[in-house]
Amino acid sequence: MNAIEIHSLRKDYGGGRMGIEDITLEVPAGTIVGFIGPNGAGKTTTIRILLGLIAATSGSARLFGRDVRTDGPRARAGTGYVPGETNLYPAMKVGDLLAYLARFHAGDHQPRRRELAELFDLDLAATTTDLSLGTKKKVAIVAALEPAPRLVILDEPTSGLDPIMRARLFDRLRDEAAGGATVFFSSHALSEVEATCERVAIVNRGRVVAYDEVGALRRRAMRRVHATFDGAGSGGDALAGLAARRLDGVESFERHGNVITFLYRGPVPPLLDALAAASPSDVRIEEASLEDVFLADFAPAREGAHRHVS
Amino acid sequence: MSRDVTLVVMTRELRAHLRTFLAWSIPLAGMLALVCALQPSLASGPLGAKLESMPALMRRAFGLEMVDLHSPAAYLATNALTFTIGVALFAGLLGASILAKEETLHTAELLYVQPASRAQILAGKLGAVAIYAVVVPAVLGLLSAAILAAVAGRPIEPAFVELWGASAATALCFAGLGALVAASVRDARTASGAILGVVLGTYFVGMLSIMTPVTEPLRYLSPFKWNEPVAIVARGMSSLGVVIALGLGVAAAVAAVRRYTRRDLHA
Repeated sequence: MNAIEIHSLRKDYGGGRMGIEDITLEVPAGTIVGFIGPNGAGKTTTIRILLGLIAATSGSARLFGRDVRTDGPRARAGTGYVPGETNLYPAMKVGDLLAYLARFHAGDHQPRRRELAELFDLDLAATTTDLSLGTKKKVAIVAALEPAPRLVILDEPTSGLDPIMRARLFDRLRDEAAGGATVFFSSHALSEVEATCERVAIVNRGRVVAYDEVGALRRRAMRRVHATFDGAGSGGDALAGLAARRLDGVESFERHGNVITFLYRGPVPPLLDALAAASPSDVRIEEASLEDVFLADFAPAREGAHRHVS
Repeated sequence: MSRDVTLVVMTRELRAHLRTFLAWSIPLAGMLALVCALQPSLASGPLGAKLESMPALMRRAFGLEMVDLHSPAAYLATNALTFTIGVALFAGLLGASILAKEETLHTAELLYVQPASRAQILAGKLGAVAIYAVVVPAVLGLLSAAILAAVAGRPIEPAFVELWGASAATALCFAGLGALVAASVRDARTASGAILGVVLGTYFVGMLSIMTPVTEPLRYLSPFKWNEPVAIVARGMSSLGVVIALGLGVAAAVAAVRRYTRRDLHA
């Protein structure tokens, strides 16, 4: 069963502001899926439609088979949400706020609340008005996880959290997934997505441009090549040699002394031929990181993304 | 489940707005206590003589020509409009802010992502507003009855209940209108300013209606004129006036819920 099903989702805010153009995505239950893309790509808009905060212009979105528009309350039952920017009711005790939000869900959540508060070093007696940005985020995380949701949606969950809390959050998310929960989160911290997610959806200009397993995405996309040359100036000669052979699919050339590094997208034999012709003293070819994939694919496209709002 | 969610929201909103309730009801109660304590002087003392010498139009504007100030209910009626305006302002502003605050405080993402429909949540919020809109005139009614019974030396008439009942109906009318205004705009300040204008505007329209026969039909546009306190004491409460005020309030609240459930919520 799919926890999330989105088909041809479109959101036009009007006045030339396009939220998303055409998002289609299925997230199987029990998986951890990352949702990445440049600013304004449509990540937050998609998440807000899933949660019923805004209505899609066209297309459909379902949580566990229930339409978020026509069956919103039941679709959101068992869903926890951590917003990108956390704002809390002022002058409330943290414990009271969490208890209030938990009352929307069936069951007694107090034991989990205490456990999660301990995990995230959250003082339940503190007043919401006095909290730092990171502590507010921790309140949102505890509020989302305490009803033991079967789906957790997080929008930039680590912004404001220190490295220790980030690690605890992702450990906890992995535990929740191991227990059968589905985790769907957007992030700019690609290393976190890479380390945590089984699958990643890349969205750009309001469309999903890639959706695959993290490893497959990296392999399919490109390789990072490090070539070392002996002798002064030989790195430059190598560059010239590669250029002369018109090797397509080479990008992001960097030269540090006698080592050149570049990203390569394409079949391996022409790459090996080109490298052999350049006669390096050492060659190392590795899978590109998700960040490499992301930057290579979307950095040039960002200029056109300004009309999209998140 | 739906009733539970509505009750959860209503309880929370009643707690959250307890200070607002106290901030409005304590000064109103203080003013009312002072007004009630002055009843003996205004009914039979030198102040009463001054009132007798006021111009006819002014006496008519305050309803002084229709009632006997020795009667506690009649005396209260000559002052009740001031307190009804206060109660209407409180209810209208509360109706507007209770909806608009979620977007102003950016807490919509906490509340409206919960497994409850917006209608359920709004029912809880508007229920809390309705309770306060009735409780404030009820408190003022009990206070005025207690003080006037003590100072006037005469029994409290049944018209007391009608006076404050009509005040509550007017408050509920403006509470609904406040919610409708908030559902139509995005920020709390605009909503508060708009409902403030509606309350005071309709009051002045009502005042205009008594100035000349030509402006008299304007009374139908002012909820404050649908059940005038002095008329209640003189002729009894108009059920039609109460029904129209409550009907308008309920219709405005229903329209607010319909608008709010269909619009995009921004953090």
